[in-house]
Amino acid sequence: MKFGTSRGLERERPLINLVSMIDATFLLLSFFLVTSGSAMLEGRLTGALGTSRGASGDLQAVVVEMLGTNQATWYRMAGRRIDGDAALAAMLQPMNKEPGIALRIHEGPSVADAAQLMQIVRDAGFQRVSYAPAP
Amino acid sequence: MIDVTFLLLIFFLVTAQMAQRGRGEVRLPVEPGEVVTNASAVGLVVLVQADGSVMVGDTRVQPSRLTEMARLAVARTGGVPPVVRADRAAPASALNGVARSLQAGGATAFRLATEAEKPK
Repeated sequence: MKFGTSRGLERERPLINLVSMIDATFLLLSFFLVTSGSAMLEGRLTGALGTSRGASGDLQAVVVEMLGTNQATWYRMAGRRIDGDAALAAMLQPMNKEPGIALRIHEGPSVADAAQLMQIVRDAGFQRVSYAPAP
Repeated sequence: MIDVTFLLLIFFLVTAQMAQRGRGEVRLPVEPGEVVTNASAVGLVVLVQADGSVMVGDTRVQPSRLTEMARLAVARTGGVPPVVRADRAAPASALNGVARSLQAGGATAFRLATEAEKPK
């Protein structure tokens, strides 16, 4: 008795070449990893380039100054010294946001400090943020 | 097939590296800001390195040249605010200088690029 059917079935079994499919899959995976990695992590902080009158122009904006060094910064608003981000945020929170706000960063702080100040006023609800470069 | 695939893979990796280099190797300040999903910048992109030097593309520029470039960019884009990609360790005086140059060139605003996610 011969049992030759299995060999015959093996011969007719369709062959699927997985190598090229895996190659293409890895190619697509790599491509999407590389291209999406740098595109989704960035943010923007917008500063209007106006004067200390603020972005609206017709209303007197509050001016917040940042002074100090890149090790320790402090703020000045209406002639009053403010130490710490939380204290500044607490003072900004109840203020009228309509006139906008002007930021003046003096020499000493770093770009990270400047960005932090822009973020604080944005979080406080100010939509009109003016960046007035210190002379 | 494998040859072509690897060729394409290498091509994409190399071009991605080149594109990253063109954007400048700066460590952006870590703040959420307004998150942008499309990183393709329209208009002028100004780089501020950690030492305070200002670059546009791969070229170091002086304030007067930056003012001229801002003027051209404002005219070309219809007032799209320039993007400033400044290193977080750069002095704020460098950012002030860039802001003054952009303002002199007619820009009414600028956008400071930030890193929206904290580095792991």
